Amino acid sequence: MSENNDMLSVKNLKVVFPNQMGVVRAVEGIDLHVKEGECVALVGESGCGKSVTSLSIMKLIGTPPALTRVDELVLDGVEMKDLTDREMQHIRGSKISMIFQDAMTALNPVMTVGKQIDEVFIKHFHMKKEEAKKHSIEALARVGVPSPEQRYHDFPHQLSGGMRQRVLIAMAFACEPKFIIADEPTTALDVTIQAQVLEVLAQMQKNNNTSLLLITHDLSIVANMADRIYVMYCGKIVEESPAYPLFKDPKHPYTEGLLGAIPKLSDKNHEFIQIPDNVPHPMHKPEGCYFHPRCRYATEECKCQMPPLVDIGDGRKVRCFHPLSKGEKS
Amino acid sequence: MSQEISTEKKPLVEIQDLDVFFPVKGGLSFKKHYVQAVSDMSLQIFEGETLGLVGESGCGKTTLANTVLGMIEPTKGKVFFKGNDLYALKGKEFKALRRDMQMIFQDPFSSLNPRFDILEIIGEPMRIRGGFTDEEIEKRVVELLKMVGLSESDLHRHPSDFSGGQRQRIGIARAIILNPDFLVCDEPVSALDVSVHAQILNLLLKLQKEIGMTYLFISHNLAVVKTVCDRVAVMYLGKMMEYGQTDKIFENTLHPYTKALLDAVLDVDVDNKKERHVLKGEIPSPIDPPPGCRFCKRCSRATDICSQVTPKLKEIEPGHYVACHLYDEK
Repeated sequence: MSENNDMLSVKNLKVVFPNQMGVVRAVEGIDLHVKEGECVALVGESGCGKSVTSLSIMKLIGTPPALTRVDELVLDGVEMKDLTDREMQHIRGSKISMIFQDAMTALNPVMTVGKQIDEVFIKHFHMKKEEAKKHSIEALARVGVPSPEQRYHDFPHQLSGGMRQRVLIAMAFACEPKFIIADEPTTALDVTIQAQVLEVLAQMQKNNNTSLLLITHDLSIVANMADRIYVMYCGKIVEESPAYPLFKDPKHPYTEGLLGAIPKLSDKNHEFIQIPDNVPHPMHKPEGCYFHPRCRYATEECKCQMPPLVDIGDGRKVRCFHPLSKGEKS
Repeated sequence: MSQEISTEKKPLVEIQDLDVFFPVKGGLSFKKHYVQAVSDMSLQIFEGETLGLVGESGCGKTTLANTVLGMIEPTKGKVFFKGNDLYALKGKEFKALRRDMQMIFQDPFSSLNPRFDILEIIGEPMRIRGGFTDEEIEKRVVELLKMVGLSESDLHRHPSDFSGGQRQRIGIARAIILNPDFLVCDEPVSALDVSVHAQILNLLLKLQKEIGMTYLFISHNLAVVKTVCDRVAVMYLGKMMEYGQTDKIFENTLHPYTKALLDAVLDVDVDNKKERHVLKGEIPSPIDPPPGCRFCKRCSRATDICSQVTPKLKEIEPGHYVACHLYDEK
């Protein structure tokens, strides 16, 4: 049973894509939960299944091509796993919404951005056009778009990347949903604009007390934002931890590697700590622990058996036979 | 050593008062408009060093690199490579000089021909140059594959069989097959997975040590630049803002734009959270920029003079230049 203050609870989510060559197991039984007002990050490299996870939570994965199975998918006390598409349409946008990675492809290029935000209000609150316009302009102003009345009439191509991302954020927060998924919201942006957009996102989340699931490949983005972090590798959660201890004392060798791979301004050395090898192909995952070919602590045990996700106290879980202890870091 | 910039040392590449303007078509007025992609840039790259070129997208980094490689004719100014005026040379001489400069591209997914196998891709520069037998080419390609961390068995595979990191290694092998003296790395890791970043950067550092190449390293990530580069040039809207040795720039940051870029770098250092000043606004259009400092509209310390007079590049301490009115009196 999920606890009462869980906004989202996902139990044992599995997504596979069968094709002629075999089966791609994109997500292999992951559990997630997000509390009310909490910002949770799902971190992993490309191909690890993080976007598939987010789309499955929204029930936006087409079946076929995918086969999805989930034991529990509860949003704000409502079980969503058996809802029809029509019922989901009412939930999407009003209770749960999503900020996509690439704002240019997420927005309709032949419609003004204002009209696109209007749609949310008209659809979910049955507002009149003029009323919706007023709300849309307010929504644009809230995310810090300068002169929102003029921008309301702009088409997506007339806006810069940062502004487009703000429009998406405005749209996602339009109905004040209780849960928002942000899928790599800043990857396509410049560093200075990235900082701006993240600030807007954090501000909006705090003001509305929204639960946020932030999906990213970049641990440095979540260091200052997330309360809790899930690290994903090859379709499995390998580590779950509150943010601060994860950065101070990573338990899984993969997390340690990811942290080491990020260059720091405070670094003095002239070499980068690297994880050897590459992410395995999703159709040819290795036996045993998926990370063992790249892991420098791997033993025989790791080669034949997948370690379970073990609770190690303080809200931390790790999927490793040999979790790192504090002094062990190189 | 590149730490000491002495006057006797000969620069490998020298750029003098370089302007690269692109005419803009259309518009109602009869006045011709120009995108000032690079304006009044001068810099030197010494043998064996790595010069970092930093700035937001659209600031002219790639245009500058292309001009240095002889791919875009400059509007004004000169580019010297090994003491020869690149754009004064024609035909054979130009080609011979170009052979010693190569480039690594940002996106390894679009920079390799999908229909070629690895032998053809990496061996192509040798074939174009001519005078080598097929056996010689194959021998050299195998040698290079080992150098960049791939194996001989990969010789007849196609780019689609490789992951992003491996493709970037192929791109690097192709770039260094003719033993160039000068290599332009245009954001070599930004399209790759985080865990592979360190591998590629370490490979570049290793190759530089082994072959003794000179790098022009383009990046927007200051943390990477700090580790890789000997000297750094910070660009904004086609102009040089700050220029000097890496340690001087990072320890004694002078220009407000460089400071803002440093603030925008997200860190995984959770212990000493720095106070961040998020830069307001976005990079303005480079079409006919107004007089004065190009950064003045976003600068928190801008005064009246900034919008009227273009600041000149001044040497504040030996080997550390800045273009900012704040340092006028000193």
